[in-house]
Amino acid sequence: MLSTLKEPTVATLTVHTLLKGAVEVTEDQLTTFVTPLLGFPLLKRWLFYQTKSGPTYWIQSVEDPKVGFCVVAPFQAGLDPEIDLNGDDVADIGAKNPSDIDVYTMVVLDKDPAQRRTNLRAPILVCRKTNLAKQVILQDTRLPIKFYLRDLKPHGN
Amino acid sequence: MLVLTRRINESIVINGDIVLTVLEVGRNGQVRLGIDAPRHYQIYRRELWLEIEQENRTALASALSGTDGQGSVVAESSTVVVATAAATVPATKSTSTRKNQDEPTPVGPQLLSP
Repeated sequence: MLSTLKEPTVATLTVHTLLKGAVEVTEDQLTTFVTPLLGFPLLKRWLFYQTKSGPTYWIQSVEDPKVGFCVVAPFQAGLDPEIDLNGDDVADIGAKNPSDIDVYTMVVLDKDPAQRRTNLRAPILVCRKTNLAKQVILQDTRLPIKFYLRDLKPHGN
Repeated sequence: MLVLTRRINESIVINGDIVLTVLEVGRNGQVRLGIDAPRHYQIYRRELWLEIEQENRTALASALSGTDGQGSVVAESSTVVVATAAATVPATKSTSTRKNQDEPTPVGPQLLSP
């Protein structure tokens, strides 16, 4: 056939992000929430992106350019919360086993550094294989909704 | 809102598989409810739900005010705090709230059947 047809045309869409402006992405780069983030019932599709390497990510609503969050990958950040995953939550996002799942927690970027915090009680679970996600509320009452990042003390020698 | 009157030890059935029973009515207005439901129903006190919803909204507001719409220095420097902390803290030992995970977690006056 014609050589021009060999180049598959991958459909892209434009996502307007808070930090990087308009970016072109393909569908498979997007994450779909099987149940919405609490408080945002209409927003299903999100783009996870980073502005620099590290445990900090941003999630951007595809449907609403004005909705974007800072999240942190708590295990990368050394927060190491003990998260007991519910089998139904794991199944909901199509994960075959827990190692398919990435965990993120919402960050409040308060102007006062002492108030900056992350919600360890209600993490976002993302299945890498299916790109499906869900914010879950864990039953473990010891996980704080407001874990202040100031409490994350460096280990001194 | 559907309103039903029930006495102690009387129940209502929701959707055929959730049974909500009034266990105790205290003089102080406190009511103890027992809930029998399949595991896949996730049951929380509504205050918890609302608190997390509120924290999500606060997170959004903080991201917007920090980035000024199109991204800026404020949010970038904020994220550094997280990144720096991560770089300096090895895994484990951070949340003072953690204890032995094997302990059962009481969920309050809910009685969930296995």
